[in-house]
Amino acid sequence: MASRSVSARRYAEAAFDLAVEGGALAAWSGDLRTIAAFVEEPDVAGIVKSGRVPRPDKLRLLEAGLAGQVSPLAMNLARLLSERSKLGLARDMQTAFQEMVDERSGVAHATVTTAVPLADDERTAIAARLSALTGKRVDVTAAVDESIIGGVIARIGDQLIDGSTRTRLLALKRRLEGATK
Amino acid sequence: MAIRSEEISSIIKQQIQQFGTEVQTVNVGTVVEAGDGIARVHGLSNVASSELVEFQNGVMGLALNLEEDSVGIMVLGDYDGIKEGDEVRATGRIVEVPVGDAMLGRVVNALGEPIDGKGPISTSRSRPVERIAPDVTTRKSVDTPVQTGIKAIDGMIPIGRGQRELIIGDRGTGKSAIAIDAIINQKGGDLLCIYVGVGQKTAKMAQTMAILEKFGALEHTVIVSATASESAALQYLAPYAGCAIAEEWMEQGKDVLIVYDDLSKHAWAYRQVSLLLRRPPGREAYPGDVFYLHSRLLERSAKVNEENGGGSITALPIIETQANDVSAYIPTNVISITDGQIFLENDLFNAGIRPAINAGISVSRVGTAAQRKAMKQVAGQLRIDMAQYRELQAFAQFGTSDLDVSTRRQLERGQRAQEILKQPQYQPLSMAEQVEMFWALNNGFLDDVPVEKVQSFENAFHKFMESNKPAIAAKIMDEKTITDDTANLLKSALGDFKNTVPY
Repeated sequence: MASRSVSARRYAEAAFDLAVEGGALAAWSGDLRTIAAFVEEPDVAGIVKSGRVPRPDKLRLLEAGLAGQVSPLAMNLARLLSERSKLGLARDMQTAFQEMVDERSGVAHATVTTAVPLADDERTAIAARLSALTGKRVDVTAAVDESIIGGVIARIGDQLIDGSTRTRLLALKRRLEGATK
Repeated sequence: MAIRSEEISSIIKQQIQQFGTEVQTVNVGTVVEAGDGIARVHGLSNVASSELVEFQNGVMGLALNLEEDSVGIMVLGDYDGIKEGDEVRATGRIVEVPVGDAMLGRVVNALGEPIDGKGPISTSRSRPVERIAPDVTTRKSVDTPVQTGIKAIDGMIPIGRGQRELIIGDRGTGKSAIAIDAIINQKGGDLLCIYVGVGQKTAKMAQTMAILEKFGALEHTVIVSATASESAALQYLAPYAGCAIAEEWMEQGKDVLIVYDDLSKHAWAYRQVSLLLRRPPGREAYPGDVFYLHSRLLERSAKVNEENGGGSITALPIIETQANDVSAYIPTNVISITDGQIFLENDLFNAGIRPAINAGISVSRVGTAAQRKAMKQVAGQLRIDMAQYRELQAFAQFGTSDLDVSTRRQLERGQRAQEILKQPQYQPLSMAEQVEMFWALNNGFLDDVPVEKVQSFENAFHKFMESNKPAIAAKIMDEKTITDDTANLLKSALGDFKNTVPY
C-alpha cells in the first residue's frame, strides 16, 4: 500500500512528463504552486476536507477559485484530484515536482550548518566546493548550531558531509577507548 | 586493566597528527516513526540490506526493510531515546562480534559485550555475524564422535563432530539438561563449547552459568545470553553471534560444540520483529522466511576437510513443542534441517525414565559412523535388545509368568537395559565406563540382578572399576576397541565384583 508521499510523487511524475513534453516546466511549476496555495487557504481547506460537502460542489468551488489562473491541463489535474478526493496531496505533489525540476536542471539544495554565522564569501566558497563535488548548481541555506563546536556540516538531500569538530572529537574518543582495552 | 602511559601518549600523538584529515560523506535519513524496537526512516537512499546504521543518540540499528520511500530499521539496544526527527547515519558496516580465545569462560550478550562483570574482553579480531555456509567442496563427512557422556545418546543415538542433532520435546522434559551434561563432559577434552541462551529466564541463565562453573566446565565454554527481558532484536542476533564465534575456531582447525537454547524463542523474536516491520505474516503468523532463518544458521555447522583446517562445528539446537506436537510449523522446519533428532517425552519423564529419550523415534542420521569401534561392538546388541523390548512391553504389564521362556528373557533383558540407560543429571560417563557397562549387560552379567537393584549395581560397578581395575578402562580408551584380551579381563573383573562387592 503506497503511502501519501508515494501517491503524491506519482501524480507529480505525470505532471512532470506533461510539462517536459509541452516544454512548459516553469508554467507548470507556478500552476502547481497556485493549486497548492489555494487548497491550503483556511476556508477552502475546511471544505475540501469535509465529508458532508458533495463532490460536485467541491468541483465547482475549485473551478471558480482557479479559473484563469492556471493552464487548462493543470486545471484538469486539479479536477482529477478532486474527483479522487486527493486534493490533500497538492502540497506534497508540488514539493515532489519541484524536486524533479531541480534534478533535471541540475540544482541541488544544501543545508550548511556551522558553529558561527558564515560570512558571504565563505558561503560562496562552500557553495562552489559543493557544486564541484556534486556536479550540480548548489543552492545553500545556512544554519547555525553552536554544539558542533567548529567545522562544517553540509547536507544535500540524504547525503551528509560531516566535517564538524564535534564528530571528529567523538571519533577520536572512540578510537582512544578502543585502544586502551 | 593496566594502561601503559607511554603507549597512550604515542597513540594520542598519532591521532592528533591525523586529526581532521578524513572528512566522511555518509548517507543519512530522518526518523519518521519510532517505537517497539523498530524505527521507520525517511531518506537513507543508498543503504544496503542488513547494513548497520547509527542513530543520533549513539544506538545502533539494522536496516531490514528497504521500501520505496522509507527504510525499516530494527534497533539494536535501547529504543527509548529515539524520537521522530532524529538523524540516522549509515555506517557501511555489517554487525560484527569480537571472536577469539579471550571469549572462553566469559558471558557475553548478542553483540559480544561482556555482561559477567569480569572486565572487558581484549580480542584482536571480529567477525560478521552473517556468513555463507561452507560449500560442498570444503566439507568432509562426519567421522569423529562427540562424547556427550549420556549413555542413551552415545550408545543408541550417537552424535558426530560436524553433525546437527535436534533436541526436541515439551517443556520440562530435560532438553537443556542434556545440553549442559554434554558441555560438562567436554572438560579436559579438545572440544570448545558455546551455549547460546535465547529468550531464557535471566535466573535460569545465572543458574546455568553457576552449574558450569561448579563442574569446571566454564573455562572451555562461552555463554552468549539474550534473555527474555532483552529486545527481540538481540534475541534474533544471539544465535548468529554464537555461530560467528564458533566459526573462528573452526577455521583454526579446532572442534566446537554449540548449543542453541532454544530456537523456538528465536523464531518468536523474529516473528515479532517481522510483524512490527509490517512484513506479511504466513502460517502461525511467522514471516515467510522463517525456514531460512534457521537453515542459514544451522548450515554453518559442518565438518570441513583438511585443506580448510579440518575443524568442525557440532550444533545441538533445542526446540520446545506444545503437547508433543512435532508436526507444528517450527518443529517440522528444524527437523528437516538437522541430521537427526532426540525426542524427549513427558510420559517417560514422569515414569522415572530420565533422560526421557524415546529411543524408538529418536534418530541420528550420522549413526555409527560417529562411534568408536569399542562402542559399536556393544551398542549394536543394545539397540536390538531395546527395540525388541519396546515391541513386547505391552505384554509385561500383567506379569510375565504366562509367557514362554525366550519372551520372558527378552523382557527381563530389556527392563535391565532400560534401567542402565537411566542417568542422573551432571554425571556424564566416559566412553570406557559406558562400554564396560554395556558389555556387562550384553553378556548377561546383569540377568541375575533384580531390576530395582540395577542402578545401585551400576554405581558400585563404576566405583569398583575405577579404583580396582583402572587398567581396563585405559586399555579400552587406548585401543578404542574390545579385543578378546579385554573381554577376558572384563569377565574376570565382573566375576570379582559380583563376588566381593555388595550392591
